[in-house]
Amino acid sequence: MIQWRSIATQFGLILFLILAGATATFSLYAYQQSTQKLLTQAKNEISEENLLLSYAISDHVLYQRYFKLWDFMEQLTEQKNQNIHKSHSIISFAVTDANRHILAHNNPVQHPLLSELPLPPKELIIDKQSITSTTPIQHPDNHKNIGWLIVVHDISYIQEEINSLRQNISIGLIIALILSLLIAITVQYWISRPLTQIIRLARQVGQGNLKNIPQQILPYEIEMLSESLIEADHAIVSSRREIEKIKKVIEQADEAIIITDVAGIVEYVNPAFERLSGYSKEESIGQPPSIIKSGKQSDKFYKQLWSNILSGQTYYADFINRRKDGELYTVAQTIFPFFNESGEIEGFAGLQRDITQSKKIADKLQHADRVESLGVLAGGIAHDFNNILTSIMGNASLAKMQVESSHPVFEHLDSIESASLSAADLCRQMLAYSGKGQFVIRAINISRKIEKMGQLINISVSKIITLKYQLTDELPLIEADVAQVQQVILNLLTNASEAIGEESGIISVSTGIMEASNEYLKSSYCEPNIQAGRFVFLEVSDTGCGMTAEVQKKIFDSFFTTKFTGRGLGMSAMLGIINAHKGAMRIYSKPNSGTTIRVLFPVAEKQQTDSLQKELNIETQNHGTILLIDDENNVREITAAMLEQMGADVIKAVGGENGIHLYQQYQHDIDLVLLDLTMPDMNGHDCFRELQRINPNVKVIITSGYSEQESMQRFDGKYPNGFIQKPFTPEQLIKTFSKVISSPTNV
Amino acid sequence: MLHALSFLVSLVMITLASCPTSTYAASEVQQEPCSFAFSGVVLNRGGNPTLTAFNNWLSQHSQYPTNPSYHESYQALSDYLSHHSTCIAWTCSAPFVKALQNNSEQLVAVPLLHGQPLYYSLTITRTNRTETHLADFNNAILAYSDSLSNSGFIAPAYALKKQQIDIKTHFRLLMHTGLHQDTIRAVAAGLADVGNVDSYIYEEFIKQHPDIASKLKVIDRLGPYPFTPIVAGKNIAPETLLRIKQALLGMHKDRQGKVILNQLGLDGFVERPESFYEPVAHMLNELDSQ
Repeated sequence: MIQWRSIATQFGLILFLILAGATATFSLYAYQQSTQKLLTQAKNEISEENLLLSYAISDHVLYQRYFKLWDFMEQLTEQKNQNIHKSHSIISFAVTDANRHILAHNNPVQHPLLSELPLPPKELIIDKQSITSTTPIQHPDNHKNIGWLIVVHDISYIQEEINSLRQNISIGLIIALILSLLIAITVQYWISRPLTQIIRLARQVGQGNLKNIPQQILPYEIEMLSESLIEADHAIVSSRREIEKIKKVIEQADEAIIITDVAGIVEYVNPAFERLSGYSKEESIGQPPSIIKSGKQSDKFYKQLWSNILSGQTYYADFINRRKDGELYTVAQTIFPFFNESGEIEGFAGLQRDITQSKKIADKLQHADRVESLGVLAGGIAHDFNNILTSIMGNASLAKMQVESSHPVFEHLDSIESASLSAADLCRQMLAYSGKGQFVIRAINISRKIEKMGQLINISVSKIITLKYQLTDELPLIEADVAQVQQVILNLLTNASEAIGEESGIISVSTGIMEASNEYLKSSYCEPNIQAGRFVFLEVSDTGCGMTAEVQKKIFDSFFTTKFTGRGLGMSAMLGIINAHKGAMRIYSKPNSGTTIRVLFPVAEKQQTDSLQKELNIETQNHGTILLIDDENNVREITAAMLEQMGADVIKAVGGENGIHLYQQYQHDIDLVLLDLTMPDMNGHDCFRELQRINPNVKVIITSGYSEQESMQRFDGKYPNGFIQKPFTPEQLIKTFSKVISSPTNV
Repeated sequence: MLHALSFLVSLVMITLASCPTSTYAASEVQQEPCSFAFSGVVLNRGGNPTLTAFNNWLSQHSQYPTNPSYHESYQALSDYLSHHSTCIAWTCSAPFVKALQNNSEQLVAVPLLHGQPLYYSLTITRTNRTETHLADFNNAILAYSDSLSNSGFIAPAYALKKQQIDIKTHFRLLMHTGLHQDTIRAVAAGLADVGNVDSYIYEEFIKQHPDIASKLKVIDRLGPYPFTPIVAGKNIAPETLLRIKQALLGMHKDRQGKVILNQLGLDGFVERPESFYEPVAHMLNELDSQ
C-alpha cells in the first residue's frame, strides 16, 4: 500500500513529476523542432528541385517537345518515386507554357495537351500530405518566363517520419519516465529509509531500549534526530518511572482521587474511588461528578465550591455522596485546581477520604458524651433529689406511723408518700438512662416475673387491647436487677399500648431462649463487646402504627418522643438498662404494620431454682446503736427519726470528720454506721477508710442518691457491708439493717 | 544538399538518356572499324544486348568488324551513312527510298517477319476510344515516331490523303515522339489520342509490356509494306557487301544466328531488289506532290 502522505513518497512523486514533466517538455520541444525542421527541409528541397527541374525542361518547353517533356517528367517521377525513402515523391506534375496551356501533364487524359490550366494561387501550397509548388520556367537565354512547372509533391514521408519520430519520442519518453520512476523510487527509498528507521526508533521511544543507529548510513539531520529521540526516550523512561511510582501511590491510596477537566468532566478516578462510589472507572470517566451527588448539599454549598476552585483556591469540605447502589457515604474532600504551563486552569482534582465510619463513631461519641453529660446531670439531680425525697418520704412515713389510718391526715400522708415514690421512680429512670441507677443483681426468671406483674401490666395497658402471652416455662435464669427488668417490661407494654392508641389491638408478650451470633448482635442495639451465646429473650409485639426508619433511628435519643405527654426517656432508659445487663435489643417495625421489640438478656452462669430464692425477712425491731453520718440536715434528721422509730439508738454526725470523731468516742457502743457517701469535708469513701482503720470489723451501710453500682465503684478492696439508695422507706431501711446486722463480718 | 545533388544527377542521367546517341560528330572523319547503325526500327536503342549480339555475330560472320551505333532519327541515320559510306545500318523503308534517290545507300538484305519481308502500319488508340479509323480523330493529337518513318507517318499521311485529308491540319497536334515505342507509350498514356506504329515494333513492344496491351487497341492496319531493310553506304567494298549479305542470308542457318533472330523476333533475311520498295516510293511521291 502506497502511503501518499509519506514525505518520501511525496518527494519521490514530485521528483518523478518534475523529471517526467521535463522529459515530456523536452520531448515535445524536440518533436516540434523536428517536425518543423522536416517541413522546412522539404520545402527547401522541393524549391531547389523544382528550380533545377525548370532549368532542365526549359528547352523542351521552349521547343514544345510535348512527348520529350512528358517522358522526361514521367521518367523523373518514376525514378523519384522509386526512391522515396525519407524523400518526397511526385504525386502529379504539369508543365504549361506562359499562357498556362498544358505542355505536359501526368494525367493527360484528364488534362489534354494545350488545354488551359489554372495556376495555383501561391508558389507553395502546403497541406498535410503534400506540397504544391509552382515554379516559373525561364528561357534558357534571356530568362523570360516561358512557362510554369507545377508539381505536387507527396510529403507523407514527413508524416511517416513524424509518426516515427513520435513513436521514437514516445518510446524515449516512456524509457525516460521509467528511468524517472526508478530515480524517484531510488530517491524515495533513499529518503524513506532513514525516515523509516527514525519512525521505528520513534515508535520505541519510551520503552527505554533505544540504541544508536549506525551513523554512517544516516544523513546528519536524521542522526541528530535519532540522538534527540534517544535522549527523549531516556527522559520519557525516567519520567515514566516517576509517573509509575506516583500512579502506584494514587492507585493504592485509600483516599479516592478524581480528576476532571476544566468543565468538570471526569477524566480519571483511582480504584479507591471505584470502591467508595461503586462506579467503575469506565462508568465514571466522561461523566460529571454529579453521578455521586446525593442532594444533601445545598446549591449555595456548590456555588461556594465552584467560586473557590475557579479562583484558584483549594476547597475543603465534608461531602455526603451517594454510591451507585444508592447508599450515602461521607467524605472529607479536598478539591483544588491544577494549572497548565500558561497558568490557566487545566482541570480539577479531588481527594476524598471516607469518613462515614469515623463520622458515625464521632456521632456516637458525641451521643455518648451527651448521654454521659445527661447521666452526670441526672445523677446529680437524682442524688440531690433523692435526699429531698428521703426527707419527704421519711417524714410522710413517720407521720403515717403516728396517726391512725382512719385519720383524715393519713390519706394525704399516703398521697405524699405515693408522689414521692413516683418522683423516686423518675429519678431511677434517669439514673438508669445514665447507667448509674440502682443495680441489685439477682437471678430471676423473666416468665415468672411477667406472671407476677400481671396486675401491674393490666393497669399499664389499655382495656380494649388484647394481651396474649407465650411465656416459656422452663426458662433459664438471668442475672438482673428485678426493678429494672420490671421497668423494661412495663415500658415495652406501655409503648405497645400507646402505639395501638385508642383503637383495639393485640399485644403479644413472649419469652424464650435463643442462640445469638455475633452477626445477630451486630445488627442489634447493644454494647459492642457483647459476646455471642445463649440469651433469654422477651419479645413484645403490637398491632399498632409502627415506626418509620427515621423514627427508629431517633427513638434512643434522649427526650425524643412521639407522644404528646412523653418525656422521651423511656427507650433510652430501657437501652441503658439493657446495656447495663450486657443484653441487646432488636426492633422490627414498619409504618402501619406494628412493632416488635425483642430484648435479650444473657443466661446466668449459675442457675438456681426459684425455691432457693429467699426473701429476707425484715426484722422490724433492732435495739443496737447506730452512728448516722450525713451532712444533709433534713436527711440526717428524718433518717434518725426512722431509726429511732425502729427502736435503735442513734448518734448523729454532721459530716465525715465529725463521724470519725464520734466513732472514736463511742466505738464500743456503736453496732453499725450509716454513712452518707457524698459529703463536703470528708466524703463517705474516706470516712469508710478511716473507720476501717479504727476498727477493721466495723459494720457500715452506705447511703447515697446514686445507685449501688455507681456508689460501690469508689471502693476497692474493702467494701461496706450494705447499701441503701435514697430515698428509702422505713421498710427498706429496716430490711437493709437486718441484712447487715445478721451478717457476721465485713466483706 | 545531398538530396539536391542526387536529384541533379538524376536530371543529368535522364537528360542524357533522352538525348539521342549520336556518333555523328565523331564520324566527321571516318574511322575504323565502321558502325552498324540502328534507329527507331528496333526496340531498346542503346545498350540493347540483342543488337550488340547481332552486331558481333554479323561482324564475325561477315569478317567486317562493326560497332553498334544508335541515332535519334532516320534523317540522322541517313546523314550518318552518307558521311560514313562504308558503314551499314538498319533503317526504315522511307529513308532508304529517299537515300536511293540520292544514291547514298545500297540495299543489303530484308528481314523476314512471319516468313515475309513485309510489315504493317498499325493505327492504335486507347481501348476506351470509340473511333474506328484514323480519319475519325479529327482535331485530336496524333503521335508519330519520325516524319520519315514509313509506318509511323508516311503510311498514315498517305492513307488520309487518299481520303482527302491533310494529316497536318486534320489533327490538333502532331506529336513527335522519336520512336515507335514512345508513340505506343504516348497513346497508352493518353498523351496522344492516336498513333501509327510499325507492326514489328508493336508486337515486340507488347511482348515486353503486356500491361499496356490492355490499354490499347489496333483500329486499323495499313499495308503491307516492304520491311525495314539492312543497308550499306555507297562506298562499302563489294566483297564486303557480299560477305555481309551472305552472312545475313544464312543467318537463320547458324545456331547462334538463329538464337539472335529469335530474340529479334525475325525469321531471317532475304535478298530483294531495290524495286521492292517501290510502293513506298510511290507514297512518298504522292505526298510530295501535295
